[in-house]
Amino acid sequence: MAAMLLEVQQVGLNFGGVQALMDVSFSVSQGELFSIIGPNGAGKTTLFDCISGRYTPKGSIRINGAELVGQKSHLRPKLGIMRTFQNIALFPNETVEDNVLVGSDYRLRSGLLRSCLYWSPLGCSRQEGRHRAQAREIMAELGVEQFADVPASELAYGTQKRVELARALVAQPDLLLLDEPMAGMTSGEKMEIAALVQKLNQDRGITVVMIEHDMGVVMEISHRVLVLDFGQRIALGPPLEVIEDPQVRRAYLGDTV
Amino acid sequence: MIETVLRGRPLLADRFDRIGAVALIACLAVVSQFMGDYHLALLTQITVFALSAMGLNILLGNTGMISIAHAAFMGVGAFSSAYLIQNLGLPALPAVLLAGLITSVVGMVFGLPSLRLKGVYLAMASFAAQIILYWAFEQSRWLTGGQDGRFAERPVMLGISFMDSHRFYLLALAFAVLGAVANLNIERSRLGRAFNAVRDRSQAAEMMGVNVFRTKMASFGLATFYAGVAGALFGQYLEFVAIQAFSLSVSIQFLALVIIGGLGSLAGSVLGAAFIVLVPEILDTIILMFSHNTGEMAPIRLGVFGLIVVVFLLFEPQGLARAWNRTRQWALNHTGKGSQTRS
Repeated sequence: MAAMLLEVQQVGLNFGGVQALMDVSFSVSQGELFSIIGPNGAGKTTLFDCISGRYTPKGSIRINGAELVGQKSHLRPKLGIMRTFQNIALFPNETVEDNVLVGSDYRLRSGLLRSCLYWSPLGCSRQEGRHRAQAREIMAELGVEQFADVPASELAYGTQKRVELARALVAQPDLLLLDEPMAGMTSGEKMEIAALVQKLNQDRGITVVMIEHDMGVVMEISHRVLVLDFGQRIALGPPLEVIEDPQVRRAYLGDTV
Repeated sequence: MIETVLRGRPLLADRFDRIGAVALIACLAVVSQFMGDYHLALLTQITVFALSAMGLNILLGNTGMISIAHAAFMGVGAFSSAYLIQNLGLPALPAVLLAGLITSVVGMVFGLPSLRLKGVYLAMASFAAQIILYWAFEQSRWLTGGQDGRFAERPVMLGISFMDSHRFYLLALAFAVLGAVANLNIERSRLGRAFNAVRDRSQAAEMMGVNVFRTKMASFGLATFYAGVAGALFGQYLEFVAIQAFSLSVSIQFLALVIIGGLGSLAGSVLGAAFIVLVPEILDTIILMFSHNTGEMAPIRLGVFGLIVVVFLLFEPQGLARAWNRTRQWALNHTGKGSQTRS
């Protein structure tokens, strides 16, 4: 068994009496492609929000052994965690390039003074240029380079999803959290994204945790699947095992399968 | 291609802007030297206001945080520079910069509520800052001279005396140009992107690694540094600093200025400053044609000015910068130098 990258232990979260998450535990090993499924309101995105620091839950969440609960959100990229959002959280007025470069923020050292002295030896022009070239490379890889100077809000939905992915990748994460990366896409686009996620996982060795509703894709590319229902873990295992689980069939798949 | 990328983003988008900016600065520097006192006074005021507005634009336009205390911060700069020069005997250049830094520290302290407050609530907090600072000005006679105000003198910087109004204008212009360059440099680097990210979606920005607290503080610090330096220059230009120059209504005027100019646009801050100084003057001239008693007509003037602002914003909600961009695009298309830029 490979080393554990992400360890979630007995995570619980209350929203004014509503138990959003209850004693959820699981771990994701280095290099794994891990999916989280469950009906709407099962707590999937809430779990992501706990990992990325929007909420402070009970319990423990560790990455590479370092405790995340109680740590500031903005330290996540430094600890190797990047994410995308269910409802796209790009910066709408900014160009695609500027959006992607925000992912570089934590690696850029320039403050006020170095920005003001842009060209001087003390300035940040070289550093900016290097990161800009890096961002361009990733944008090209994801097929959004031609939109570099276009404001994010003017792009098609699917393209925006790709830009979000580029923003996450530019931070060179160990762990990539994808919140419904294929939602609202045509089946052709879904295939492309699925292939891309697999490629990132295999070629770059990025550990992926993905929330996704498309069962076909989940079954095909995931190594393991976690099933949540009403904030509780009801199953965890390889896709084929999970889908046979009677509790899962009842709670999640219902009558449709 | 890759080489141009490696150099980072250019300071100004294209040749039109580059040539235009240099031409404008050169033109102002030369023409100002032949102006009469009245026109020079207006030009100096526009230049100093533009410098101050750049700061407010960084705060409101780029970072999305409102402040109705900008004039009070100019006051902090004006009084502390006068104090540093007259009471502590500091040379003018370090005094002005130090006044900027002092204002910056005060600005960051009053910016602390921005960590928790947004929109209207933050506006109320900055309103409180305006009231508190204005009250502090009134109480601190040692610093401000109270209701009597205090004298400030035209400076000597780098061995050059700026006693003469024509020379002083060149000094103000130099500060404004430096301020504009610094502004553009920040806009095209990490901090500028962080400002915009915080404005658009602060929560997502935080998860993407932006330290939102530090970014907001940097924005307040920077905005009030501009205000402080502009305030110091304003006092030196008038050779007198009075509390009344930094009242709430002036703060609101600055707010109107950056909105009319166009939020998030440097050119907008400059155009807005010109608008806010010139339109009332033009109105005065018109009113004088009909009546010899300007005092009686003052409320009408104010009302008409307000009306112009409202009508303008109805037809050009993105401000003068947008109108300027359209003109510029038209000029580009008609000179055949095709160059695409985004609004």
